[in-house]
Amino acid sequence: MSVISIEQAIETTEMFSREHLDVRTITMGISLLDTMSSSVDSLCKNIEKKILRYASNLVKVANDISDEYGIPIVNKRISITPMSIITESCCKKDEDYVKVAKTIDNLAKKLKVDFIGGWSAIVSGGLTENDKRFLNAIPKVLAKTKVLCSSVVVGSTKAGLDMDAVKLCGKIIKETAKLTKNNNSIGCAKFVVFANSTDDNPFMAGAFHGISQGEVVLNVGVSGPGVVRNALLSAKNQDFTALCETIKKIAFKITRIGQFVGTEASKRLNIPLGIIDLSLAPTPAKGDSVADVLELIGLESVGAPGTTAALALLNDHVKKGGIMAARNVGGLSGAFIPMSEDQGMINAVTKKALTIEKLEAMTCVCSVGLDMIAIPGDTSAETISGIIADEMMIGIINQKTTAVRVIPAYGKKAGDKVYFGGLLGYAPVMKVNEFSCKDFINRGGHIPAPVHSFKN
Amino acid sequence: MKKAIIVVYGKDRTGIVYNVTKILYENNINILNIKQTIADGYFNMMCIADVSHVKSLSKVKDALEEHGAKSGLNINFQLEDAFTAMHVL
Repeated sequence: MSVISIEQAIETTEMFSREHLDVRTITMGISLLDTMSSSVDSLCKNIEKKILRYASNLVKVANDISDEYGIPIVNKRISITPMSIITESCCKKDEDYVKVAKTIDNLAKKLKVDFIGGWSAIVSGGLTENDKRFLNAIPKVLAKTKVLCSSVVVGSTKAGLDMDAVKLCGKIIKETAKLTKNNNSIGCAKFVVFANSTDDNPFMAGAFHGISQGEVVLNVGVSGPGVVRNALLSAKNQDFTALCETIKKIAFKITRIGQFVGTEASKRLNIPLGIIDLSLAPTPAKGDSVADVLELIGLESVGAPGTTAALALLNDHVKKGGIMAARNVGGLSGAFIPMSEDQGMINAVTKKALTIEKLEAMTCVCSVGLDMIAIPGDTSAETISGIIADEMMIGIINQKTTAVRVIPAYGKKAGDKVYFGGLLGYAPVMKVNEFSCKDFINRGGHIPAPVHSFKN
Repeated sequence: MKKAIIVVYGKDRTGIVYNVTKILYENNINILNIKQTIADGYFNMMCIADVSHVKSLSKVKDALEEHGAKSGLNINFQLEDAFTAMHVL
């Protein structure tokens, strides 16, 4: 006798067929530390050999699991060791970086993975000469590649905030927008600036296989705003205590699917399972929106007073429910609030209910940060650096991950729309405060770690 | 033993069980457990079946889905493990 009831069986099938429950990503983290070489050509060969050794079967195994169990696995991805380290001994010119980047990009296309992340540098404590070269080449790298994602970690609670790097990142974003202007500045969608990033993040654009990690690992990101939304539809008259319980229960179920898929993939690929990232990651599909969930909690629109509190309770109870369902929790874990990938967020901006300042407040209590936000193309590099500095400090002071992924859409102004396609969707261009922070950014230097980092 | 769960639901009418189980029979699938209810004219059925001897699971899935689309029923065919992962501790 099975212990599954008809109701439970229907609940599960409905989650997959109507409520967009999916495993958002299986991300294979691969260490490239042993591929380093003093020649660009041999580095490229070593990288190719290493990635092919582990990841050749990744897409096939994920598709097999998806077919057999009826669980959609939306993205198959690879994350690699931060490439600023790997390229240090051989890349001296922009062309060297572009050559290595194109090798990785072509490899990802050959393996049919959706994204590969790790064109990254960690500079929280300051920039080396190599870091500067690496960062300056990022716009060209992003313009010449399709699925390679890049990130720069500019601050942490332990190291403080490197303002020279923040300044440089403003320029990188502007330059990338210009170099990819014929494609709606899409290069910026593949670049993220972090504080307190994690070594095991399976989500893009910020995934990299941190140097604290082992040889190879599988990390899984689950998702299901649509499932939470549906659970809340029948929780209209619940008080907050009961509402939080409803969210916890549904997060538990969603995460169990992630754990199951991760365990199965790990077995078939013979690669250890790392972490499950408990995330509510929206997609542009109708009903698969974090904004919709917040509105069901009782807001006329996202952005109304109460939004930050609603997001905080949602984020916290997704974690509480998910933690017991997964063997090892990690990554970013929480609710994502990307602008372009969430139709509810887009609607709120269009009806002027949601501003970038309110989004900034929301990032204090959600999983990541200002994500996939299109801003006017004429926004200055200093203003972008100012936005980054604000967001990084929220993370550093609150000992959480924060990130900025903004797209200064070339030639567009506030109110226009920018189309990216696929999972990235489209975004309304948001108004940015026009007062200058030029003198603030041009000071340069380093903001020391905050007082509560001294825990030893 | 490899088990699958087949969930069928939609507006009730004659022959639903007959047609679904016929497809299972044709594919060498033995039914282990079958539960069915009707509420407000809506038919709900869950069937647990032994699929150890099935050559191509995707062929069965396609056949069931095709039948579902033709007859206005929701038919889902999935291996059992995903259900137990979600509902059983």
